[in-house]
Amino acid sequence: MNGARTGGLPPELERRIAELENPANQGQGFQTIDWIWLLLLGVIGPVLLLIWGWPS
Amino acid sequence: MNQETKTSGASGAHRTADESSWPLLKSERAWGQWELGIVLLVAAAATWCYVIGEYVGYYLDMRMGFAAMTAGSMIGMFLVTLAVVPSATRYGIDSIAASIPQFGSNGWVITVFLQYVSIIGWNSLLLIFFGKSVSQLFLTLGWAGEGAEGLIIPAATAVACIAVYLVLLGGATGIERISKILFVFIVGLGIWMIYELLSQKADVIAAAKPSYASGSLLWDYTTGLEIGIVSLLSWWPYIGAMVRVAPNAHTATLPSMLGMGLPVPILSVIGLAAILALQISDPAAWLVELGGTTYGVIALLFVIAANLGTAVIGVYASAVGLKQAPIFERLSWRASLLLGLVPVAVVGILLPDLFFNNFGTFLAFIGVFFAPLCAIQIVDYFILRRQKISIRSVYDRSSDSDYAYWGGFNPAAIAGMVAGFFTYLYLLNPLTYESRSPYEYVTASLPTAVIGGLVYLVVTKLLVQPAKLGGYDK
Repeated sequence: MNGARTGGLPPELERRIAELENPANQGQGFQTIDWIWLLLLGVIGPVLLLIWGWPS
Repeated sequence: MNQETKTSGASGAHRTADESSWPLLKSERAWGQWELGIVLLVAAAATWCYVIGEYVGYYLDMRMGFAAMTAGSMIGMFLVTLAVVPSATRYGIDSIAASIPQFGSNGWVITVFLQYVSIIGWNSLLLIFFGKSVSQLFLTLGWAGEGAEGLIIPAATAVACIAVYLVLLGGATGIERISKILFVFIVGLGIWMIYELLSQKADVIAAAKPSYASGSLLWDYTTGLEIGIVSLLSWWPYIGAMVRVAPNAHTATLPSMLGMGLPVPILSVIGLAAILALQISDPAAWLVELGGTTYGVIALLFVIAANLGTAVIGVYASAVGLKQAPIFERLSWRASLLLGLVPVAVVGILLPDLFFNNFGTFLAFIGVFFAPLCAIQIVDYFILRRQKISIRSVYDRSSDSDYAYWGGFNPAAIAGMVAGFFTYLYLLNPLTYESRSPYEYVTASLPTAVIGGLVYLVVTKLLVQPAKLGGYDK
């Protein structure tokens, strides 16, 4: 299916899909630094906050 | 074709994509981290934060409430970011299009419905809050007498709906423009309000006890965490339409986590502190108590700025999402906007109190459905598809599409959603907030996500992949 023309799509949508099927025209995924931020802000940070907030 | 005509043609095509669910090309995705961060902050920073803070303040004091709410918010944002940002930024698609590989070419029925109900719910809450603030101010200033609330709230809701409609006639360009203006109001006035409240009522807040504490500190803490998680899970319908204008996932990561995730707990501190110290979360009411009518006017300006920006972005996201539905595909942009706005106007004008008083149930509804939805997308994109989907099949509604599955629906996704639904119901009753163990140790939404994702993985491995459906073998 990939790379093949799909009947019935409007020409402008077809043009966009054809361009985006080329990996060079796609956005890149998360980089290593992004994973570090995600883990810091979404996992480690919340755990530390929960420990801080619990009455000692 | 001269240069002017070429430019006009490119701009027209971009505008078509901007006001449709079509993917944006790399050349059209020009928002940097700051632009995206500002738009996401404006989307997240609204008076729902006061209501979220108020709910947490029923169970927890200031320190525990802040910790649980912030931790929960960041966990919820983490799940939403992992679920939507990678595919939305790789292909320039919104949240609904990003979920078609998992739910199927007719699966939009499920996700568009969830998006539509969720955004209408949040927008109704915002505009009712706006109407209440206007009414409160009119009463304070003596511009209206007791009993006028019944007229002011519907009138204010109608005016807000018209304003949102007019801004969105310009598509995403209208959003970026208004976000830059509202950003200054929201951040500046938000910080000022926190300062006023904490400086004038610090002692009262520190000593205040939550009025509906259950008696179990652990249960209350977990409930604060749960409220934070589900509140941010509700950004799923919003975020795709915004991050798709960023060129890659790296550009969207910090704006998503810090721009959309962090402002909610920070602004919710206002609601948390206000409910603990003054037993009311609406700043239009408590700021008058702290500083008179001038403060009340400032609070109303904040409510207008914050809620208008969020409502604009919400209606834009729902209009783009609705375009995924074949029956709405050819609908004009104006008509799509009206589909997102008319139900909000109806709820805001006819049922404001009924909706406002059942906010907790609405939050639980979000957790019930969006927790497994996020997990299904994460499992599918990262584990099963190794970060690649067929952009052609996302828009191909024929039976030849990779995502046609059985009749356009993927049973793995439906099984994952059903399993998640019953997991949540077992752990926490959304209507009564009665819970079963191990809720107090694990929350309701996190196990719901885990079970939903696991069931999706198992059904895909046992049923979908052996049938050579879903495009997993390409």
